[in-house]
Amino acid sequence: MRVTEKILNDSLRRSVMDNRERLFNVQTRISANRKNLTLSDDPRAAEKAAQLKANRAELEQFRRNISFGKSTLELSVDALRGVEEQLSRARELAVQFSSGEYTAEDRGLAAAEMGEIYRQVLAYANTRNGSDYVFSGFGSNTPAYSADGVWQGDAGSRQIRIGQVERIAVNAVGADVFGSSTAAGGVPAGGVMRDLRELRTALENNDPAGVRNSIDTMDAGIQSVVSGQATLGTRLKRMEVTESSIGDLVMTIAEQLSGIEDLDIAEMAMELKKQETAFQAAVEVAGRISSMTLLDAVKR
Amino acid sequence: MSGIYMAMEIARKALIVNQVGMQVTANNVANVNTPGYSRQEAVITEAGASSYNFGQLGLGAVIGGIRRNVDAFTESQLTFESGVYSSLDYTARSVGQVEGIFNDTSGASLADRVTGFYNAWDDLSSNPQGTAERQTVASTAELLAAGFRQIDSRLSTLKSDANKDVATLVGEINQTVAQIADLNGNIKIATAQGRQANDLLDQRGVLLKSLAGKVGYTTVTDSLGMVNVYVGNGRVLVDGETAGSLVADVDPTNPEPVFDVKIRVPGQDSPASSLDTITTSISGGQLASAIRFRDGYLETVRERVDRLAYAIGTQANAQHAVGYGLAVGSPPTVPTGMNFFSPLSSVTGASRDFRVDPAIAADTRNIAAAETPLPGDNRNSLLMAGLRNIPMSALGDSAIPDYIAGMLGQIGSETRSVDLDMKHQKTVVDYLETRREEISGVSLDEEMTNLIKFQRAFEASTKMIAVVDQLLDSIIQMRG
Repeated sequence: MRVTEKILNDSLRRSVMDNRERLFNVQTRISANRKNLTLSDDPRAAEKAAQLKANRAELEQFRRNISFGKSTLELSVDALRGVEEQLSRARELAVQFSSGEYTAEDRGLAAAEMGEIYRQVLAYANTRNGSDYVFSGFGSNTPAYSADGVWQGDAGSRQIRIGQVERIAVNAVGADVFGSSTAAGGVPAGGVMRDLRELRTALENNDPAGVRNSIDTMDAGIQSVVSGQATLGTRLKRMEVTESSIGDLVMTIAEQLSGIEDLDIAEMAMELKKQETAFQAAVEVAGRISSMTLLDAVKR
Repeated sequence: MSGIYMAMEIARKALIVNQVGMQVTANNVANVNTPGYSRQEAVITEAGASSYNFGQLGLGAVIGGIRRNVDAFTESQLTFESGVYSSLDYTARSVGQVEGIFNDTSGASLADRVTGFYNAWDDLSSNPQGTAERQTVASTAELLAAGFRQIDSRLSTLKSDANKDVATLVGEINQTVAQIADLNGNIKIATAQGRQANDLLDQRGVLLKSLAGKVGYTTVTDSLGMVNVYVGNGRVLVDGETAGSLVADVDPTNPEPVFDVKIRVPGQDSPASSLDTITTSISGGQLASAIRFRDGYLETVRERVDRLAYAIGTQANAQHAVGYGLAVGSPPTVPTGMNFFSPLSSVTGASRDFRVDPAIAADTRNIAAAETPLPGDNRNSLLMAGLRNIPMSALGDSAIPDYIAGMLGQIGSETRSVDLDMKHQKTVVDYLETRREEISGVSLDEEMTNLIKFQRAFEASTKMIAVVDQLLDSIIQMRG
């Protein structure tokens, strides 16, 4: 093989440039702290990373949905708890004033308290979350119950997505928990609202038998509200379980992503050292070889 | 003639021979860094002999010619392979630019924008009457639309760059071709005079190599040493001493003003419009790469993005149209049957025309979160948020995020594969260049030894003349 100066020069230039390129690659990766800088560095990893990221973004959205849903549900639970307290107080009054030893005046005072209880229960049933009446179903601009206690909502179940196919309702429909107080002559024909109104009327009319009847209706109302709380509690529980399993999934994805995208600093540092050494060797060899020439020998 | 006069004559010829040797050496040394130069060698041959009854006596040495050290096979391989390299290099650079559009470095990638858009619907489902949530749906949609339009306009820029390259390359090719035809003429004259025009052959070799980098061609060398060049499907570009040319001409019937490549064969003098178009039959070199990139790869990538834009737009519109917004106006009416994005007429141009419907942008109450006219109904927003997970036949039965991931992987592997091809070709060319250099390159060490060789021989020949001179002198002395 004839080795000319150009062959030496070219091979020197190539090895130095190749080395430079590899050094540059290692350096940019270290400074960006990423294993791959372009899609073509590892197309399969790029594809996988894109899928994982889309997946993670949606999971995080589910988490966001759940945290919003939980606060909405908790609002309803609080309202139901309030209604339960008021109904318990109404039942106490019913038990107390069903006994014959009270005067009409006593019952009149109790009726006044019942009026207050009714207003409280109505306020709870018309709880708002922002501009939405939470017990109204989809017609959330309209209060769930009119001042007279007539049901004005619908059966709309407000759901959120907590999985790609899983959904969960974040509202309780007023009619389900407070009874279907449909209108009859402008007043409710059933449900908690009617029962409260009847108790007050019985007290006003000084009617111990009517008051006694209300003990049962109050019991029924309390039971309905408590079971409503239980339903919402179950949903809250389910959201919490889902939330924590989403948390686990997000962690797993983060680990996978890190495996795909993150730089192994120790490995890169070694690679850098290796490339530096190779670079120095290439330059040194080049220096030696190019100093060996016949021109020096034939100089006079 | 024989005897000492003959010896003198032989020495005189030897002086000339070795001087020529030194001149060739000097020329080699001078051209050590000249690209395409082929090492030359003085071919020294015996000058014949005179016969005597005691045998033959040699008549010294003469220069038989100046040999150019070239291996035609290596030369043509190198020309071909470096043309291939040049073409792959162009493709790798261009495809790399396309990849750059999709690299996720800014955090505002198309995938992020798509996710942001659908997530906004989830947020809206939690609060279907929320003004802020509605605003977010509209603004993430604007962001998504801008993302599609941005990609489209970047692809268009790359296309117009490639188109400019076509015109530039055509100009360069024409220049090279004209020079080749000129050199052909000079080589013909030299050949006719029985000379080998080493420098002209080297120069033409360089030009042919440079031409191979720009466009693929075939050649036929005629008996006078002239190279005829053919491009496309055997269209004549150089015919001996006359050069034809390529013409970059805008096709007025094409909606996109791109250059067609036409050929004007040597001696033809017709206007550009009546020339034959050879755009699709151009193969090899950067010109073919630029054309393929402009008309092929870029359009393929654009089609993939358009397909996505069209699928997202039409799917969202169909779902949005069945939903209800919030009551507007007085008496209040609940908007329904509305588009979310401006309707897209076809896959082609979908990302260019991707816009949020003006009615949505003007009043976010037109955003349909409900399945009924009730304001607290969020069922349509749930369906909108879930659209991303529905496999679509238009996307090859993939859901949107998977399609995007697949598209990124595909662009990545395409870039990688042309990059690997290019790097592999580089090693092929490097190897061939080394081989050419082994045969045709100038080695200074070798030239130094040759110089010493000729110098010594020259010295010896002068010594010879001096001796003959002394002999003649002593003969003259003897007479006197």
